Amino acid sequence: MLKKCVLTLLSLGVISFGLLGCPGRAHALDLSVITNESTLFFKIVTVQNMGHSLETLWTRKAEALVRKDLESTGYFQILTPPQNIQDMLDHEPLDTTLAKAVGPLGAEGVIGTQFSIGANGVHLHGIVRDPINGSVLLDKIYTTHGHVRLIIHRFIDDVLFQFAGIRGLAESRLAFIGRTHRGYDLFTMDFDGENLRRMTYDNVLAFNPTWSRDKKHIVYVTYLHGEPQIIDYELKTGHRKMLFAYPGLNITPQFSSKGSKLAVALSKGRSSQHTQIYVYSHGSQFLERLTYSHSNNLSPTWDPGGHSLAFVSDRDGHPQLFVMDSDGSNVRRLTFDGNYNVAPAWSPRGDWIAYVCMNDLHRPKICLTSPDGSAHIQITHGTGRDDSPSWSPDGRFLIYSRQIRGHSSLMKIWMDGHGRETVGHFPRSVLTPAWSGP
Amino acid sequence: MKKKKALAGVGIVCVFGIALSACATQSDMSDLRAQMDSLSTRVSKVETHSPGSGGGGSQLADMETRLDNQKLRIARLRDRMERINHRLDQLMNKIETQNAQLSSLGKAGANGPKGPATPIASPPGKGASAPSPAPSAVPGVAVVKGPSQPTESPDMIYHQAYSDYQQGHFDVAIHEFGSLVEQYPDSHLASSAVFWEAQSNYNLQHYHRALALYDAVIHKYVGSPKKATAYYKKGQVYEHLNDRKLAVHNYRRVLELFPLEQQLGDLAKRRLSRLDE
Repeated sequence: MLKKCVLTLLSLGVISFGLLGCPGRAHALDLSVITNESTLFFKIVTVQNMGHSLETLWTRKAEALVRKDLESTGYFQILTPPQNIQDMLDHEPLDTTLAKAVGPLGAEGVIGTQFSIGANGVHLHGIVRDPINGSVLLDKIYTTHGHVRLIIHRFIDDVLFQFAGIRGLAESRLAFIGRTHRGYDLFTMDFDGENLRRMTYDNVLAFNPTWSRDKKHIVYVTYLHGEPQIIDYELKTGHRKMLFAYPGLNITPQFSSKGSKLAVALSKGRSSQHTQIYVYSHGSQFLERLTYSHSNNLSPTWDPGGHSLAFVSDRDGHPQLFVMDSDGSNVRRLTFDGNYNVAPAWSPRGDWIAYVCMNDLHRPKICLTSPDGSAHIQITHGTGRDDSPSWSPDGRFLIYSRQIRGHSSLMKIWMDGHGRETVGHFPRSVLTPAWSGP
Repeated sequence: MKKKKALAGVGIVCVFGIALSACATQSDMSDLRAQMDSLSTRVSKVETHSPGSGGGGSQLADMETRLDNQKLRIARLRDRMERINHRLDQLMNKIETQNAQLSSLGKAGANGPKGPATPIASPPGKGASAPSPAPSAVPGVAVVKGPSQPTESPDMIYHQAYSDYQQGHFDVAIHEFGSLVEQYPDSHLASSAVFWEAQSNYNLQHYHRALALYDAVIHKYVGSPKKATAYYKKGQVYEHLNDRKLAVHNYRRVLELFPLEQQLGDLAKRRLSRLDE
């Protein structure tokens, strides 16, 4: 039972720090070259209310959100035009001539928006023009019956793709286990922290949600029947299906990026309670065991191609990260610094693996390692215990839980460690967040 | 009613005991006590030696604890070995990088008007010292010829190639690993490069090419740490090619040649049992 508890804690990445030895330290590494911090800004001019219709409070708020979304992509620098050009922008339609007028400012794009309410709902007419020749790069009308921020996010995604060729986050969602009055339950929210929804009312400990590729299912671990078991939750109907309920531990499920395979850690009732990694193929409905060491092997995470898995194993005495081929062969160790490296999450771009490492003060922090283990970097610092990193679908951000004085918050951070911010306003503690696919 | 019967029974036993003690002498009593003592000593001895007894249980528990401790020590030793190996790899990489830099500096100096007449250092890789293009390590593996003078260290090429491999750019990785083997055939990374080139081909389902490269890992690089995995992967390739006999042969080679490779051994056993079905 004790081992079971310890393993559960291990999988949550919150093992007792006093038991652990001296931690290592991630080597310093400059990540600025792989993020857009200071290397690639597109200079743009925004034209709000380009149709010059009557503005209301909600249209002003919507325009402000457009600006905020553009800035938060990290790829755009919004220029302030001089007064004479601003006067033109305020009174004339956004056509070829007006777009060309901002060219001398050094702008690489002119982005115009117009909000309106019609019989079909709220409309956003978004236009992107090239200031060099005034040509239209994007011209699209977005409509929603729901919240206006959804169409704003979609428009900004399209703008980002137009300039940087990167798929945005507008359609992505977050799942996490949230503390409730009487226990824990599964929650979801949009990527911007809005639209919080409580999915279950079990009031029992749960953790490690993982999204299916189509975002219609969440597979997670629950203590609903007293033991950790893996359940598939269908978001549309709320229907739940037991996937793994072997005696002992059924923990750390993780879908492959293509969604056809699910990797899990199962102890299958062994007296040792050692968990081994298995892969379940939805196509063949076959459960294949991948690890055979006499130790705990858990927290599998897939590379984007589905050819390799990173996982945690204490086969060398302490929990460390390992990588193996998807058939279980070719195992190699990734982390050598410190005695506690857990909760790996492979970037959707495939170039980095985020994980929980231990800093000099024995506090768990978020670290990155290259998949060959040649480079390591600690990206979160300061107070708090950071845990359970999960990547954004574009591989530029991470979310994780940050615990201070017993309260865990959901945090978002750029992959190079800057721009930390709280996501949403969940009032209680948050465990094991997971970001869906695009 | 039951109580009365029980009391009567106890009374009879007491009377009988008093009568007996009256009949027995003092020496008889002491003899009996001595016999009782020796018997209890024997019983305790037997209990200590019997495997199912509590004493045996505690011994077993002790043994288990010792075994666990030994396992822990072995795990720690393995951990230390892994760390030392890792450090050695890092040092080797550094040495190769510095050698390559020294070599390029030496050649630049030699070409210059006032440069030294002889090269400063000779790099470990043949490719670095011999600018003539070496043939590809494995027949049929296309390698794009770069400039005769290698500009990147084997470590740099290897990491770039591995990074491309991890991002699923297998075609690019094949080219880069091949170029490393061509430029630095004697580098300690060469065997790994051939292995990952094989892996890239395997992932692209170029099975015959992958087989040739796995064979190169096994036969050309005798001390390669990837040898056991190469045998296992060959088994996998033959399974894909529906050659059950050769798949079985290669899985058996894993079991015969690498008895200490527990994980691979178990995987090979699993595949063999699957193929027997």
